[in-house]
Amino acid sequence: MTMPPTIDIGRALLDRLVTDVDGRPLGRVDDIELRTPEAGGPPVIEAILCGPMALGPRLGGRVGTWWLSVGRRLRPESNPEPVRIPLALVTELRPGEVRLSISRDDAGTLQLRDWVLDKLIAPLPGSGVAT
Amino acid sequence: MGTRSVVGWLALLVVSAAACAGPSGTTDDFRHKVSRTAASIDSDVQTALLTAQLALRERLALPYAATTISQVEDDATSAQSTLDTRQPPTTAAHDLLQHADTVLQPAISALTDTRIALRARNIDQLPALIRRLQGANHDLEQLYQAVS
Amino acid sequence: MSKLASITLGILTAIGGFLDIGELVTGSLTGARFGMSLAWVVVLGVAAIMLYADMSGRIAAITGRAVFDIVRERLGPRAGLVNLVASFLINFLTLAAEIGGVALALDLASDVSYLLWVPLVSLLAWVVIWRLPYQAMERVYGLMGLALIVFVVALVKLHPSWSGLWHGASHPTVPTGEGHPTWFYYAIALFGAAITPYEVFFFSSGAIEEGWTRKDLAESRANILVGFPLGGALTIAWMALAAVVLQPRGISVDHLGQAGLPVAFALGKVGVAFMLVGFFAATFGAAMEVTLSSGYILGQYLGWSWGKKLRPREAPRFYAVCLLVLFGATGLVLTTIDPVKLTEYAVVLSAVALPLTYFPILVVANDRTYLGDDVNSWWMNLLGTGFLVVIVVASAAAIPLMIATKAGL
Repeated sequence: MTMPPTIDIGRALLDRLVTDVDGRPLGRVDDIELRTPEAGGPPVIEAILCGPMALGPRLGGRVGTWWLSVGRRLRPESNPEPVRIPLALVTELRPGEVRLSISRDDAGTLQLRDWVLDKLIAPLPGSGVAT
Repeated sequence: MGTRSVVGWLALLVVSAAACAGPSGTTDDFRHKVSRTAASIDSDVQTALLTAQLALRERLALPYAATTISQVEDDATSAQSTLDTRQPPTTAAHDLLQHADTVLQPAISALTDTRIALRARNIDQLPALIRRLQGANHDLEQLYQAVS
Repeated sequence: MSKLASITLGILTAIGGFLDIGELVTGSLTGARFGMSLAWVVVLGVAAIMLYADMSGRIAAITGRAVFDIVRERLGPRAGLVNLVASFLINFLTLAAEIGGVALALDLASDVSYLLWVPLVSLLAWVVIWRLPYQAMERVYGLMGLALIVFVVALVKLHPSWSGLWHGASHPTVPTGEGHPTWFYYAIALFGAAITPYEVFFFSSGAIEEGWTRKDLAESRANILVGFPLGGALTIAWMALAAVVLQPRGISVDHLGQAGLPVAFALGKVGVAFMLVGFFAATFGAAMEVTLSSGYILGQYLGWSWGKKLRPREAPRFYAVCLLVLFGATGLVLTTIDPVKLTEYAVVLSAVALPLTYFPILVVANDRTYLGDDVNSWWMNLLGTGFLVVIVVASAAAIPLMIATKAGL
């Protein structure tokens, strides 16, 4: 990716751990969404993007395609778009961490987690999950 | 560099491991193979000898001794059959193989009998077996000296 | 618990936890084949893992971030993924080797085929990971692993020629009949056994699991400075036993049972009992550390909740990865692949992959934005750079040597 004017901001954000209001991880900054202002000038960051649908294109090649197809499986509902978290929800940038103002249950990045929990972990004895 | 190259390396590794069983060309190559087989089976016989001596002196429990001897017996058997599957390239190599088998075969049967005695807890057979293993060791070393 | 007791316990755990199937196989194998001529590699390997563990432990304690957290951020998603895949594969082979090692130890104790023990071992490992608290798990197997001190007792009992052993170690020469490539190939195997990647993943992620802060660094350093060298000393004693008892008889070590014969020779059945308990603890403890490490690194790369401190429902993906990896590695051992051969490949491949994780850690250990004033001192960087050279050379030479020597024949 080449974005000369914003590369530093991108570096400050990309691949950081995203945590929710309680500090619980909900994924990584797999990509960022940029918008070029109509009036011209450097692009601005609109949102951070999470999940395989965002990471796949950044990986590129066959691995990226495979990653994307995993992402589509996980989001069968309708739109195969990355999970989009508007920059306004970011409250704090720590070293290696991007803190949000929302709970991770509302972020929409935990489909795989929920699926694994329901299908694999909960049925095992002693999982601590009431079934 | 990608996952493909990692897979490539692993494939190379498997191929190189499989390459251990090459064809034998000349009498010298064959002689070299016999010497390697003799050395490897001698290591197995020496293992069995030490194991049997320790078991006889009650310094080693029988399950341990039986497991260990059974493992080296398997190794020795497969080393000999690997050698036997080679086509001797010359008459000299053919004669060498026949001579080698007269040394390797008794060594392996000594291993087998020691394993059986240990599994059956026949301690009183051990002194005789130890002498057989010593003899096998002696013959293997002579074979090794002769071919290297 | 008083501070002193806690430090002592930590050190004892570090000694007992230092050895695993890698050292047990390569230490005895090289001793039987090359005498003490490769002992220097153990010393080098222990020094390298001490520095590596110190750096990753310091990064973890001060920034709260584990190795693959850093790898993803510093190397980006692509190079990070290559790194992850390589580490994961080596972890997988190592886990299969450790499970095989536990089963082989039980086979030696019982004369019941190791293949029958494998499923039971895996099941037990799963129960421990699923239910036993983190610290209890680490301590129980670390302390049981102390039984391997029997190596030192056995060596002393044999009254070896100490000056002869020392001379062999301090004047390393390739024994007659062996080639230089083979000697260097096994040097790399020993080095890879001393610094297997999972050890660092586990150390760094474990620091976060135990909630280390800067205050705990002194204790961590005590574990590293005392525990690791003593663990290395056990490895050298193990090598010396093979050099004294097996090498003169021309026994080459292809099985764990052969490796243990010198202990029986020196100490008899009681010594062997201690040794087998130590084998079990060392390989079983390592099997759990490798399993957890697989979950740690994947969870860190992808930004999951991870950790044994969390309950299964709090970190379902982490536990699922651990379960699947354990399941897969069990399958690999059950193919009847020889666990000893598997160990040899796993330690050499560990050496191949080492620069991938060592280099980012060395860089971050010098980055003030992460560590403030706790960055590496000049002498650490001197050592760290020296080890980097060694690690890169070993990594580059490993595969060509493996091919040239047909994997050490």
